[in-house]
Amino acid sequence: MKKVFYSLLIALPAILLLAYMNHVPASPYGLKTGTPDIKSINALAFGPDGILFIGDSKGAAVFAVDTKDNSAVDKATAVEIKNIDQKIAAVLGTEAKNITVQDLKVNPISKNIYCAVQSADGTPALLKISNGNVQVVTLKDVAFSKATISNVPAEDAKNKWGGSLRTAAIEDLNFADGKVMLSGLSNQEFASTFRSIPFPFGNTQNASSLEIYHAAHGKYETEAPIETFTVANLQGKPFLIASYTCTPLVIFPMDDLKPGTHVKGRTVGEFGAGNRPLDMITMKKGEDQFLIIANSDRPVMKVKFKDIESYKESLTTQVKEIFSTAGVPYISFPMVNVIQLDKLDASQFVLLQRESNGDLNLHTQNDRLL
Amino acid sequence: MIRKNWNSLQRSCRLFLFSSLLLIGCRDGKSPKEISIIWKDGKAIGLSIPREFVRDIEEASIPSRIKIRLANHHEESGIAGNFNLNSDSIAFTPVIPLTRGLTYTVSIEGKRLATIPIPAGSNAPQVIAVYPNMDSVPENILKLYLSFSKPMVEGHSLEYIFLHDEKGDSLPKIFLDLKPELWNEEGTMLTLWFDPGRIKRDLQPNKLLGPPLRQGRHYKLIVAQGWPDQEGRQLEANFVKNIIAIQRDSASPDPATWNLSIPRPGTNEALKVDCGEPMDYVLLQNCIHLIDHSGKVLKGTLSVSTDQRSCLFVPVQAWISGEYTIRVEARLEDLSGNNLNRPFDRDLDVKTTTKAQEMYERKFIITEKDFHASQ
Repeated sequence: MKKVFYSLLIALPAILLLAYMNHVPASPYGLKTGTPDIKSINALAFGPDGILFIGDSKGAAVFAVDTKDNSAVDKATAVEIKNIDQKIAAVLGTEAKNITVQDLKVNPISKNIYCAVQSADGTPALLKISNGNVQVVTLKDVAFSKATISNVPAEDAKNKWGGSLRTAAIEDLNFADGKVMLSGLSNQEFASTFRSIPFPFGNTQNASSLEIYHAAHGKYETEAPIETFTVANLQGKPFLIASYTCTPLVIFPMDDLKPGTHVKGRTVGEFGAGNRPLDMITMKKGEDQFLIIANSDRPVMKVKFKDIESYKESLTTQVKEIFSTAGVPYISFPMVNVIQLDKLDASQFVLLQRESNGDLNLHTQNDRLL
Repeated sequence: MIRKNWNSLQRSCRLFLFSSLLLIGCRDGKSPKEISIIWKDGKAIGLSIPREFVRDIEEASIPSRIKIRLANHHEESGIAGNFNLNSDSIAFTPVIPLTRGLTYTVSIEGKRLATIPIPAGSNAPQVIAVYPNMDSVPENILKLYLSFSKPMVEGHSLEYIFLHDEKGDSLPKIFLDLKPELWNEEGTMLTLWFDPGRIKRDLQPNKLLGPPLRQGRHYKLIVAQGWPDQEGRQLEANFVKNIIAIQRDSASPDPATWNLSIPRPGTNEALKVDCGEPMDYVLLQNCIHLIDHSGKVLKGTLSVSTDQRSCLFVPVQAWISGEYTIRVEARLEDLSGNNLNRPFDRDLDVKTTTKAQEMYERKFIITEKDFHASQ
């Protein structure tokens, strides 16, 4: 009897451990705990449940990282941080001139702001801005998964002839309809790519090649890189809305983006040459929806969805005069040098703006302008 | 005399103090005696703090009581990073490496323990080369590669790269301003595109602003001094490359017309592939593959000639008699972005009948007989 008792006593921890393990929830989305080998952070996008997608141009990969930052906040507190580059630099132990902001995205659940920076020595860092405080997001021992961007030579091809490896710079990254979508440009041949990767990451990767008619150039431009894009419903159907260098606004029905296809987009707006669109978001006020676009050489623009929906034509002729515009109308906000833009909540958006005195400020805009 | 003795006493005291500190630091014969910088790949990735510096502090509270800050910065919290406790030292690893050229302080319990300057890199960076190598380039040249001796600070290239015309005026908006910039993984080679909208004929920017370069004109590409590398050193002098714009090139390269210099069997002589025109330096290195009669990729080294018109392939194993294939990826471009499938500046109203291919192949045979015949 005593023997049985001692046997049970010895077995008890194992039984308890087994019971505990059975209650540990399986990691959703196929994530595994570890330290992702992130070489650069060029673009960010939020997916479901606080999953953050990190576009890594140097590592030719997209990482899905569970931020575990998923306490829902409905209405965000407006953020106003002057000289945010100096505050980020202070947290990282360097000077503002030694960091470059790569991307800025709001977690749509917690409304915390995530900011990717690159230090002068090339090291990436991820920061979270919460309640006005800037703090580092550690990327050690996190739940993550990785999708390698295809069409990049395998590691063994790197030094086959002693040549340098081809990299694909990730211009923009978004998550919609269960897919991570990214636009990129090669550092060797003049070719842009648009990829769509189903999430959770598996072995399937669908690459779609997109063709647009670029009114500013008067020619089809298959190679021009998409600078920024978003996904939105137009008349009840999902569309990819993309903007390119020199700045046409082009729409593609999402249903047309099939693996390996060559899709012709419809150019609905021409917002002037000599400009680069930097960021594009959608906002809603009442029943009206809007695109808000930040630009390198133009003010922030507002475009009404209604105008895009009612514009049935496709811009196929050259604009008459350089720097002139065509297609759907837009309104310029009195905001220039906005380098990052994202939706904060249903009625607010955040802007990272370089002021005329050189300061880099993060501030919030409500829907008064919409 | 009194002054001399006083100086001597001072020297003796200093020596005694130094020796005492050394003895304290080395009393176990092993423990480090001062805070040192932890280096990896030329980066100051952390600080190593001797454990005896924090002897009186509870181990669990060490990370909250040691603060590393930038000198002259007085934020309550130190810079972000991790503390790893080792047997004889505490390693502090910041989120990003300590910046070269800046000075940091280490404080324990609010008292400054040390001031640590991080030295800037020892060698200033240099521009090693700009490709294409040659001065004369087609007026519709599409891109440049800038090769540096050390990894450079990224994201600011157009603040340091200028193209001057014959009057010495800097030409505005000549290059495509991409974010992120197109660097290789090591941060030592930058790909720089001329504005493609100005290169394409009959397009609005081309018609109204003209092509970036004009045939017959001379230019100077300036890579300006002051561009910092990732170790905080700067280009010490302007790098200048002369550029002369010649006739535009609007035709696709055609591997069928390339001249081959066939090596002898039993040797490791180079196979020379002469493309008949300067090709893109990086793509020429990466897009040509040698395949043997069984379909295997041949191992060897491929080098590009200085004029970028040809490449030499030297196999690891000696050539044997038989048929070989030169496989060329269609993405190979000449200097004007014309690839094997299409010219860069194509008229899309004109229907082309040829179908785009991923690869183009050119076969050749190595035989003793043919070699002798060609002698």
